Amino acid sequence: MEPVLSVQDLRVGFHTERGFARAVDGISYDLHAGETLAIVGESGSGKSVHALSVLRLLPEPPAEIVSGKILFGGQDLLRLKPAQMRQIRGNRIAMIFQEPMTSLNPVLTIGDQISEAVILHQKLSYAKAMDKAVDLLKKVGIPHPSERVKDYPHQFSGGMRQRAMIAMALSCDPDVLIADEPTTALDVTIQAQILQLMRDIQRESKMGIVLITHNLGVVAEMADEVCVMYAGRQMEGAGVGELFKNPRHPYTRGLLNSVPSLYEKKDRLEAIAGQPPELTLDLQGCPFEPRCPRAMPRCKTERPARFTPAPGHYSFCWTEEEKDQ
Amino acid sequence: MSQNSAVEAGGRASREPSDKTLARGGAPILDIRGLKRHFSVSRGLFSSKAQLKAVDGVSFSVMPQESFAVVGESGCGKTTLAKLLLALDRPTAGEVVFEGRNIFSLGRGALRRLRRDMQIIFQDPYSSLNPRMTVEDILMEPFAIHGIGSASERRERVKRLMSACGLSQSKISAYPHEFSGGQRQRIGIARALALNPKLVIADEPVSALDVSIQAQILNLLKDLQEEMRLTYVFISHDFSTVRHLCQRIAVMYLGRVVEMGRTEDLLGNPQHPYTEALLSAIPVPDPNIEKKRARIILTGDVPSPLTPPAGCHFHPRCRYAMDSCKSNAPALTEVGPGHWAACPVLPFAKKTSAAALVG
Repeated sequence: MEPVLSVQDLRVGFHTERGFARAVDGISYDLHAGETLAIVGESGSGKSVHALSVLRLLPEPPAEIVSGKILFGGQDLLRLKPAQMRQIRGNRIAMIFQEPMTSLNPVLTIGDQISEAVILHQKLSYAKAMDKAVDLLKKVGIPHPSERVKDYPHQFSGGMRQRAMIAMALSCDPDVLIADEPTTALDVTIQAQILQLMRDIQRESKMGIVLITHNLGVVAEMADEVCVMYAGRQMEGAGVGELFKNPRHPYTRGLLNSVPSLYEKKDRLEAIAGQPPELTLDLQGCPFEPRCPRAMPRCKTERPARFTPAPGHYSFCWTEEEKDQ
Repeated sequence: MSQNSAVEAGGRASREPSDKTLARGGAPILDIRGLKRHFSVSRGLFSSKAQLKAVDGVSFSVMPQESFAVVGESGCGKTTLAKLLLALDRPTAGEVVFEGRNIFSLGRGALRRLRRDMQIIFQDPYSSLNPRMTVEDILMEPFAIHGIGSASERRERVKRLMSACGLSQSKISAYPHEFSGGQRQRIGIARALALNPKLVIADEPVSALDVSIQAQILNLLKDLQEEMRLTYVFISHDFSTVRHLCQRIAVMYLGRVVEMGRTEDLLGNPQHPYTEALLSAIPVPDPNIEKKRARIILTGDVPSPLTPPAGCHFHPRCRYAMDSCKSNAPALTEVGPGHWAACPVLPFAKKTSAAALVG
């Protein structure tokens, strides 16, 4: 099956006072319709920058998309003109953000904000667009939608704002939804509601979801495929079951071990010592090498090549690749 | 204990829980009795003021060198509680007894001396350190405030603190912005521990940090507790972190403690519907478990603390709710050894279903 979105060797950086920061340094993946791909990483791993580059939302300069392809609907998004990109953004590819308070306009009603995209992309009249906004609010589970559509964002709770954001993202039936930490600012009981809502909508609409998160629990619950990022690089990727059962990168293993478990009592957590490298450094080898318990001399000098431990499972690690030989 | 004395103690949740823990041996280092903090909130120019019951009758006690957790979602009153425990705020009613003395009856001088023994670690290592002070200044300040040691002694103690908290001494003259989030949290911890406190209140100490860094800080807190014989009160929304560190947990909902017990009992056999739903909502980092388990999804949001539902605050979202829950606020009752829950329905439901299985 043709992927609905295909990112190929994307490299994005920022020109800073301290040099060129390689925020995204060569990531590739395919997203299929009806599938959720989780991109997991910690702060500074490049997961959000990657998402903003897909939608061409980064200000250039200081950002620079160095190379790569983002294939969507037979065209490379990196080659589109701004006007062509506007036809796709919010229409065919939609995005929801982490902080629903700061990403909604406080002086416009919820209805105005949802109908904006519909009026722009589907050329509906204001009245029709408002009807659609009410339908969408109902679909995302807002009680009394025909009254709440006239509310301002501050009259909504955090969970309701995120529902409104989702309504807005869904307004044009996108093929791809990019969700950047959609539940991080929410309480767990509200998080459970929002994740459930995203799953229900996906089942119905068959849209592909790129879910950006740092929470491995959310990954286990939502993802079909997982891609692990660290310091701008892709470390490992596989189907969700395979990745959790059979991680083939020391960073993935470290990440899985450092999470305190709800079900088993660990005496000590296996923390990963140290911290991520500066992105302005031009690293020759693996960015995880300084923190890696199993690093070899080669890891410092040579960039790990992609290897495939199992079908649909890839990893970038010299030590792991050696194990298989 | 009679109903009356429970009322005298100022709490809906009676004093019984603390008395029980007392009975198990030793004196608690911290004893909270019927603690209430109500705020008057004006709702507009012409409306009457409303009462926001941020903390509404909380009682528990913490034993020396214990790690006790207060868990709840936003708006449950856990941070107001933390402030009260340190006398940074004064309660509407109730007492916080630290080593036998009610901290709210102390004068300024006595309170200041007491503060050497009670410290706090904040959530956000970015906003809780003064950006214009070097690490050395930050860590020297507690000694200066309390007039402890000479300059050289202080410097020596600061160096020891830094190495205990995993900070490189070469960075003693650096400013907070030169550190990563995890290292800043280490500075915050070092500052809290500078004066050898007995009790440390940690308000979401790792929730602003990445997972791999979280693990480092949790291990550090655990090591320091053993070395310095610390007592921790953890304020958190995250059961997994708390599970790793704490022996006992109290769960709060809209200003009240709804369940309290030993970590294994409370997580393994929750006796309040809110705890049950909260635990069920946490995504587990294991796709096999995630696929199999049935999840309880609560409907609606947490009600506004200005207008909490009558009776049991949780009843509009509760799947076990009965008519009586709408009017009667259930008190904490002991459902197992050291395990308390403020729900008359769920423990009963669990018992009958277990009995049905046996029968």
